[in-house]
Amino acid sequence: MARKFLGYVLALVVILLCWHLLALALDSPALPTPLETVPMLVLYAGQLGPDFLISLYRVVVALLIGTALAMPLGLAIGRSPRLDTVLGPMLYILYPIPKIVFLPILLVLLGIADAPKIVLIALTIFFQVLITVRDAAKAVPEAAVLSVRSLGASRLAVFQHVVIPASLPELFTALRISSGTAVAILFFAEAIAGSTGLGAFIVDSWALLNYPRMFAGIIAMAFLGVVLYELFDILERRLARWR
Amino acid sequence: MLSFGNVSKWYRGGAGEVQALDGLSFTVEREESLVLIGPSGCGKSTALLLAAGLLAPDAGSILIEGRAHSGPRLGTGLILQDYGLLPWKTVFENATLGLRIRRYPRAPREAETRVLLEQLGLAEFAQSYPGELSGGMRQRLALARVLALDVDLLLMDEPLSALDLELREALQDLLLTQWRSRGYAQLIVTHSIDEAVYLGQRILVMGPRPGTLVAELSNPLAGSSGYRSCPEFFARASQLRSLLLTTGDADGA
Repeated sequence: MARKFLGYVLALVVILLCWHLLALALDSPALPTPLETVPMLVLYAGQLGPDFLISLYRVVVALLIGTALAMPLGLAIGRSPRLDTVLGPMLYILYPIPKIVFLPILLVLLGIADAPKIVLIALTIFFQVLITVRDAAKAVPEAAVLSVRSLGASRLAVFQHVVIPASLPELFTALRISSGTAVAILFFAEAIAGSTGLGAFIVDSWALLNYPRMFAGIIAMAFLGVVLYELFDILERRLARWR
Repeated sequence: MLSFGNVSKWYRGGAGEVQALDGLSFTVEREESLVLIGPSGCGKSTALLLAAGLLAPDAGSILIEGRAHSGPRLGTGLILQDYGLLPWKTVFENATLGLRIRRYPRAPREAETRVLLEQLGLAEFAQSYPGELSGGMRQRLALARVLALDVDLLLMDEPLSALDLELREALQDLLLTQWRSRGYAQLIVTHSIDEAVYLGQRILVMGPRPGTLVAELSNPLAGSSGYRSCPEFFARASQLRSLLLTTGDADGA
């Protein structure tokens, strides 16, 4: 824990230093130095705090919905060649479509509040988790499945004791990778529609040409990512203790 | 106990049909130790999965205690080549898994598992994960997992092939001790001549694919103490070696 904290401190020092040097070298109002930006974090804390929380809420709810839908379906497709034959091609057609293109439709259908943003992020997470979990479920060692079946396990017990635990590490990898995309989509959605969340905060600052304020928003967005990754780490340590 | 009558099995793969077994017939008597030996790819493992009820024959019949079986049976234990342990469960959880799946009451289940782990020298590793164990310990854990179930038929597929010679002989002795004291029947698939002669009261030799029996060797002294250094042991081993040489190929380890 202490080592991790130290790691973060060290990372912050290096990043801030590089940022500072780059800002000095460029000497442009578009890239303020950390010394100009950090006071903005304090100054706008009253606005940043709620925007941060609403963005976090949207991402976390979307992650939960996307995972809750994709995990069982991925496990089922991974363990059933017949289901894979039927649904595999459908997945391959739908997966490469960047889900952000559905933003306009979702805005029309769901308004500009939380719902379209959450649905859009959940869609992105859904496909990435679905494909990863499906492949993980396919790759479960056959010896483990046969042994557990020979102990008298039903299909359900095989999922409980073998397929699900074997797929968990892959699930967390998928979540880590897709949360990057999720935050990017969150930014777009919040920037385009509505006036809440970090995306809106950043774009508003840009419109005001208040670059230090904009960078304060960017720092908050980075912090959002850190919160997500740490959340995944804690969950993975609890759920995949054997690793 | 177990009888195969004219069992055939085909696999359907991308390259068309492959016949794994062709009219395989044999029986395993109660409390008997039987070894199935043959060249790799001869269908030994297929025969074992059929005996375990994890595969169904395409032709012929498989009877256990006089009954045709559909699916895994409570009294049959199976140990596969790489043991099929679950890396995400501790030694204790792995050992007790069969009992848990069968909804055996928790308190006696845990007490019995503890005794068994003690017997097999795994007690102090109860909270470790299989990934932290040596090969020999993993083997013993796989044995613990099936012995916890009070089996009357134990099926093993190359149970010791991943271990070095010294450990292998120690574990062969452990297998014999458990077999003698618990009185189950065992069917062991191996490609090792020494292992076959040391463990099998009868040794069935299979020919190359599609697998069928080509010879049977009676080996009544198997399981007796000190057999490994008896002249009879070497005689049987060389007899088996020449049988295998005339029928196919097996390594002489």
